[in-house]
Amino acid sequence: MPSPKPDDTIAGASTSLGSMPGRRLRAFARLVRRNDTELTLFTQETPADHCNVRGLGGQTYRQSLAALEHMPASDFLANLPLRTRDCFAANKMMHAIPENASPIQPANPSLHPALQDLGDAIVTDATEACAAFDDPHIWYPGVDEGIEPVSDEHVKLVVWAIGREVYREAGRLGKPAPPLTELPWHIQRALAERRRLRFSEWGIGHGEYQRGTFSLWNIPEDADWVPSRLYGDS
Amino acid sequence: METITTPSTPTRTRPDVMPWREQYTDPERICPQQRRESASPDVGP
Repeated sequence: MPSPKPDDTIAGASTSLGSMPGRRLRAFARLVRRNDTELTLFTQETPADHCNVRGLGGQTYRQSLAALEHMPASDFLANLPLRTRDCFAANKMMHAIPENASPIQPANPSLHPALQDLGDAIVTDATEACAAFDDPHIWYPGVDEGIEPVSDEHVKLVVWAIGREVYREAGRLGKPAPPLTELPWHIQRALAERRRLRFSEWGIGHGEYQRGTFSLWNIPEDADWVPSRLYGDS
Repeated sequence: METITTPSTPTRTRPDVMPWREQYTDPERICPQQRRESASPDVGP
């Protein structure tokens, strides 16, 4: 199925975005569905939490996003949950690696579906870091400017946390999980710095993390932006 | 004068070790929801 384009009429069903450009527009496209007369904005992970907006039926992604910015419904898009997970507290925050932590941890909260591109970008960074298992001297730069320095303790926490999901899935996928905590330290640091940068590229910083919400309107428009790596299922 | 050239062949830094993708699960193989989970929003940026 071809990727949607910014000037396509909004689809009525979930659509893989492919190479559709626009950082903010892509996040919006993951939130919105259309029926004949109105748009539905899914503000939570589950279909139960949504907001219907009349009068925008038949509009394109680009038109709808532009119109919504000046409508009351824009408030819903300014306070989207950062963490979602049906089965347990989405406001759980982790500040340290648990003592005697097993590599295999229970499922943790996930980013809101609108932030799929952010999740993909972080996994891309993690995969690229894994090349250091083959060559510890790979070129894998961290981030020198534009972010607050990342403490050593936070580097350890981030790298451990990123590995949790792959550890859970590794058995099903047939090979052990890559031991990210065994990567060269400068690679681990660079990965944690990149992660902080990625969050900031989607307008998410410490404040949003503490509140547990993010705003679609704080995601830069970046009209020409497309992911550096396209996953066929997102 | 005889010119001696040394053939250039690519070598791994660690030729005794398999490529990591043959040893370990590639993080990119997990599904979209799991990629969002890997971002670990329970841990601060």
